[in-house]
This record gives sequence, structure tokens and C-alpha cells, in this order.
Amino acid sequence: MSTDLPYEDAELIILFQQGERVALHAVYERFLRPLCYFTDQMVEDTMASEDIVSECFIQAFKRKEDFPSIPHLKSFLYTSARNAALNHLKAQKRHGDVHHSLEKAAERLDTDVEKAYIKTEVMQLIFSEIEKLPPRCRDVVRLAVIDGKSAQEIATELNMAYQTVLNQKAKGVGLLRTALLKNELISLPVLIAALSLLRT
Amino acid sequence: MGMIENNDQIIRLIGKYLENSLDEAEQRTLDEWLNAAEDNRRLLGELTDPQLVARGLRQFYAYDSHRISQKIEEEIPAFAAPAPAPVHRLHFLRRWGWAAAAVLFLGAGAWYWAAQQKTVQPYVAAAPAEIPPGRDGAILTLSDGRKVVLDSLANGVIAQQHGTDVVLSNGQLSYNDAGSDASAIAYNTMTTPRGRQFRVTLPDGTKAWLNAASSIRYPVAFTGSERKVDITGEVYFEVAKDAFKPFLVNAAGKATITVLGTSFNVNAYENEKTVAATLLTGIIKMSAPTDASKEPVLGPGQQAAVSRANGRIQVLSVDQDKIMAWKNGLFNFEGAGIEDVMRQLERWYDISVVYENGIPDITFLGEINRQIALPDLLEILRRTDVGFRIEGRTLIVLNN
Repeated sequence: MSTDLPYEDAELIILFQQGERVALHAVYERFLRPLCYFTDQMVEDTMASEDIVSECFIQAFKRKEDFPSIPHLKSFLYTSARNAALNHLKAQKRHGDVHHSLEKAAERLDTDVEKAYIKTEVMQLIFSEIEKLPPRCRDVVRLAVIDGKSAQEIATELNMAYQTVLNQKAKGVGLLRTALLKNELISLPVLIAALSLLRT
Repeated sequence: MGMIENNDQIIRLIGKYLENSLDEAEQRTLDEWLNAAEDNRRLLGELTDPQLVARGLRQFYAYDSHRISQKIEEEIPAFAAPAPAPVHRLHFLRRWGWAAAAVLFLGAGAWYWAAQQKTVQPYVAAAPAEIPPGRDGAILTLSDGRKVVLDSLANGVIAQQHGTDVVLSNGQLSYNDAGSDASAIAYNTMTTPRGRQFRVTLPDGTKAWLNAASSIRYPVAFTGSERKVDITGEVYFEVAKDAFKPFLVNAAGKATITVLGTSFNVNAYENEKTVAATLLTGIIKMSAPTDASKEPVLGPGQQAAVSRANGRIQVLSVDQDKIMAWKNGLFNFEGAGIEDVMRQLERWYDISVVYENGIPDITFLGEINRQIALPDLLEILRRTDVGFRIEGRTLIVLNN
């Protein structure tokens, strides 16, 4: 991802090659959710996607010395996920229990893979921007946007005063905007629109 | 793989499109891509539809990390959790990017990476205040009592003091002696408040770095047989060599350090237990009126400390990295107790610290960049058993 500083990647890959647990987990945390989402768009089955992704990680961890850089590793993970997703769809077909959408997905797969990748990476940008917010803003944004909670419900859940929630919400948007501009990442008119739905 | 390289540019452009920050050339490239296929237009439509984006984010959060990591652990033993690490022992990566908050827990021969586990943190009630880290800045008091705030000035000559130009350039102050008239000695005082640090080059070429909440008083020209300055707080010196004029540092009236040409750090904060001088290179001598029989001469790596309680001087060997961390832009919490850590935070973030239910008995390890916002730092410290709450500029330490 574009937010990752090169020296961090350089350190990470060395530790990864050495099989340091810290590095395995860092790689896992970085790629887990985007890989699942990527796979899920093809196989349209959450559990199956999770199984495929865990197998991709296992393969990558078994040949950890083979990756000279994080981009190589990323490439391996995505290629493995794509191939496994393809095989999964073929197997489904062979067993004859193909429902309509799967069949359609299989036909369209070649062109869909690239779209799935682009979509995944843009979603990952948005996701990581939310995760980078200060904790309380992040919690409010998560509950508001992801869980669709109202300000009142968030106040109850986080044990915050109602007005504080509204303030945090506004702050969350402002911070997102600043962080995004500063890092030349993306800003979220989307998120802002969603937050503004939450006026009461 | 083509899938990745071929699309990295378009992903970046979509990002900028969402941000509304495309320039003309980028806009053209994106338009070309959009016009190339109906599918492309549909994709961008999906990525700008709030409902669909929210649904995608829900999916991101919904994947069962626990189940997946268990499956991996079955095959990859190195991935499995280490023996329970002793709490209170944490270690920071030296280089810190706040976006990729990397924290190492050190324990039982195994490492535990909390780095990007941010993604699955529980909803913790956390610091609402956005307290930024300290930065460069100081107040210069001229000999006539005028005060100059060095936060806000552009580079250039900011004052003339008895024939000496006072020049600010790139966040540090220096003195250009243009044949000073030695008839009267003028003193300047540089003071850093909490949350500020600053660097000054004295008229003899000696460099001084002031930590937060510190001060140094010095003449605008060193005349006479010695170079004498007064300090409070914490100052690191690199003294210009002059064998005929010893350099004397009067540390908060508690100790005097005598130098010929050398680098050393003096910590004379009122709320620390000692006034301590630590030598990096060269030789220094410390004396204290409260312990006149001793005048220890230090070698590199040694520290002489005058106890504030009984005035006695003690000589110790110390970890230079730890002493010099502040000057290198780091906090070093190696072996520090919580009160020690909190005193540093008070000065750097301009906050006050209050302990609720007593003072937790813990020791920290590791170092971290000082350019971290307070809430982010607390997020890390919270991984010990200690809790924190911020109310205005007061940090409340909770003893769990």
C-alpha cells in the first residue's frame, strides 16, 4: 500500500525471511482483510474465502525465504488467492451444485479479477484511513458507518454523552480530511456523506 | 504480477478522485480509463456509492481473523502465540511511523507484534484530546529585558547586542561577533517552555541544545578568562575547544561543571532527584558547594550526580543512548519507572499528570520517537496494565 514507508518494508521482509513471529503477524495483519475481500468478490462465500486465504498464508509462510521484497510477497499472496478462487469455482461447477451467480461469476472471472483487485485496494485505502484515526473518533466512525448506528445508539454503546458523540463525529471527519490531504491519500466524501446522514 | 502493477496507477488515481485532488493530467488519465470500458465506469460508481462502500467496510471487519489464524497455526508453528509474556515489559521499534504503529512486546524469548493489530482492537474508551508532541521554539530574553519569541520568526538577524548580531537560521540561534565592545557584558537568556526545544550556538561557537522547560543564560560575548553560563532544566553541550578559557556550567545553583572542550549533558530539572552531568567525549570536572571535598573528574560514559536530598556527589556509569535520547528526538524509557516516564511526558506535551488509586509499580523498556501525538503514545503505554484518561491537559493514570 502506498502508505507504507520503504524502510519499514525493508525491515519487515528481513524479519519475515527469518521467520520471526512478529513479521509473520505483521504480514498477516496487513494483508488478511484485503485478501479475504478480494477472494470473496470472486467466490462470493465468506467461509470459503477465509479458508482460501488461510491456505495462501500457509504457503507463503512455508517458503518465506523466496520473497526478496514485500511487493513480491504481496504478488504471491494475490496470485495464490486468485488461482485458488478459480479452482474453487471450477470444483463447484464439477459437483454440479452451481447456482446462477456462481456460474455467471466464473464466466466473467478473467475480467472480474482485475476489477476485484482495484476495488479491494481502494476499499483498503478507506479502511486503513479509518483505522488510523485516534481511538475514540475511530470507534464512532466504525459504529456510525459500518454498523449504521445512530448517534444515540453510539452514545449508549460507548458510554459517551450524546453531544460528545456529535463532536467526535465532526472531529473524525475533519481529521480524516486532514490526514488524507497530508498523506496524499484519499479523502472520503463517501464517509462524510454517510456521517452527515447521522445528524440525529 | 500484472494484476498488481497494471493497476497501481489507477488505484492511486481513484484515491485522488475520491479526495478531489486530481490535477489535469491525472484527470485525463482517469478519463481515458473510464472511457475504455463500461465496466470501469461501473466500478467507479460502486466505489463512490456510500451504501456500497459501507457494505464493503462491513465485510472488511467481518472476516473471522481468529478462525483464520488458528488454521495457520496448525500448519505453521512459528505463527502460534508465544508463552504468555510478562506484562509491563514492552519494547518500541526505534523508527516510528505513526501510521504503522509498530510495537514490540518482549517476553519469554518470543516476540509479540502488536503492530497492525490495530485492526482488531476492542472499542476502548480512549483519550479524546489531540495533544500534539512538542516542537522547536523558545523565548529569547535580551539584555534590556525585551523578549523575542523564536517560534514565529523568519531567518535573519533578529537583534543586535553590543555589536553582536543575533541571527536566527533554520530553527537555531547564533551570535556573530562583529568586534564586540567589551566595555559592558550583556547577557541573553534563552528559555524553552514545556512542549518546546531549541538549539543555540553561543558566541564562542559552543552549541547548546535545550530540552523542554529549560533555560540558559550567557553573555553575548565571552570576555575574561572563563566562559560561564547558567542553566536550568536539561541542556546538552558541545563545547568549542579553547584551552585558555575553561567553560563553566552553573547547573541550577547546585553544581558547577568545568570543561575545556567536550560534549556533555546536564540535567538539572527541579523535579528530578539529582542534578546530573553526563560526559560523552572529553573530560569534565564537577563540583558542588554541598560536597566540597569531592571534585570528580569524569571520563566518557560517566555521570556525576548531585543529590537534591543530601547534596552529595555520586559518580556512575550510565547508558549514553538513554541520556542523549531527547537530543536525538527520542523518548528512552529503558528501565524507567512510571513516574520518570510521566515527568518526561509532562514537559514534552505540556500536561500535568495525576495518579488515581496510587502509582503503578511498573518498569518500561525501549524507545520511541518524540514526534508522536500523546493519544498515540498512550495507546501504546496502555498495552501494559496501566490505564489512562485525559481531561483537558491533565493526564490521569489509573492503577488497574
